[in-house]
Amino acid sequence: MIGRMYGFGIEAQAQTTAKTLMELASAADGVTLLERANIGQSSFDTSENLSARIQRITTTGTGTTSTSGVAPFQVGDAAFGGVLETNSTIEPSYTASTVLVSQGFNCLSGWLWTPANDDEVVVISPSALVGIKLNTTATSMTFDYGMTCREIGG
Amino acid sequence: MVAGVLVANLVSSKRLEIRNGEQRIVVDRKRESLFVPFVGEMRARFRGDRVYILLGSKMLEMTTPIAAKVGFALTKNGGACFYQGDVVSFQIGGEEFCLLPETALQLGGVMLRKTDRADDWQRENPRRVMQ
Repeated sequence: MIGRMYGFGIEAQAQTTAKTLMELASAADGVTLLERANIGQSSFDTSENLSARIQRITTTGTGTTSTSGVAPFQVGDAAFGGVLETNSTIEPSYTASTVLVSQGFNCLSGWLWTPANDDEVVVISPSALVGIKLNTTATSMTFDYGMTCREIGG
Repeated sequence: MVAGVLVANLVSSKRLEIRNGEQRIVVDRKRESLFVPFVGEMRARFRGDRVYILLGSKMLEMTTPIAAKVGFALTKNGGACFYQGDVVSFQIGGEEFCLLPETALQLGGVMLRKTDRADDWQRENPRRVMQ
């Protein structure tokens, strides 16, 4: 394995509007590969249509900085060198024409994205940003979400 | 072209140069007022313990340490093209390929992923690693 693997997850967070759930910034001297992203909910037991999107960001928004919660898979690895903000209160500015993944899903089954092959991996260059956005919320739900990434360099 | 044992390399903030005798691999960034981006098939693959870049009819074979350096440099330079006209220059043995920033970014990332797989192969087959 090259690089270091990190995981992150948020449990039971209420959301009532569409918003960026995770904004991932790569370290200034490292490359980050997004290996997995997931969104699910635990409060509804009837079907609702939701959608999720992964897109590149030009200007960062404002959210809760959760970098310290990004845990290395291998105990003893260095802390994650980038920055992770969650639950945006001010949305970031997304870069036009850079939607990498956009997918609707049933809230009962949740959403899980992993690259189908190596060529599809989301690459975040040094200091660049990618957002994982909950594009629609039908009503208030309690969400669980997270991601796995690999940092090389940093 | 086969890049075998690479004996020297120089990594600076934006330029990566790897030399093996007369042969050179250079990844750099520059601004062009007029350029023709490479539009042929461009793929990164691995087989066994090696990583390969396919650029049109050319193939470059690399060991994993070299592939990781080149992949990192492509990604880094691709992401650092902020202005119109900025391109990533990828030179193999004197022949230059101009890559659009997005292309270099993704190709570099894919190379890193392939390097990871080749690295795994080496650990699984310690006696079969090619010299």
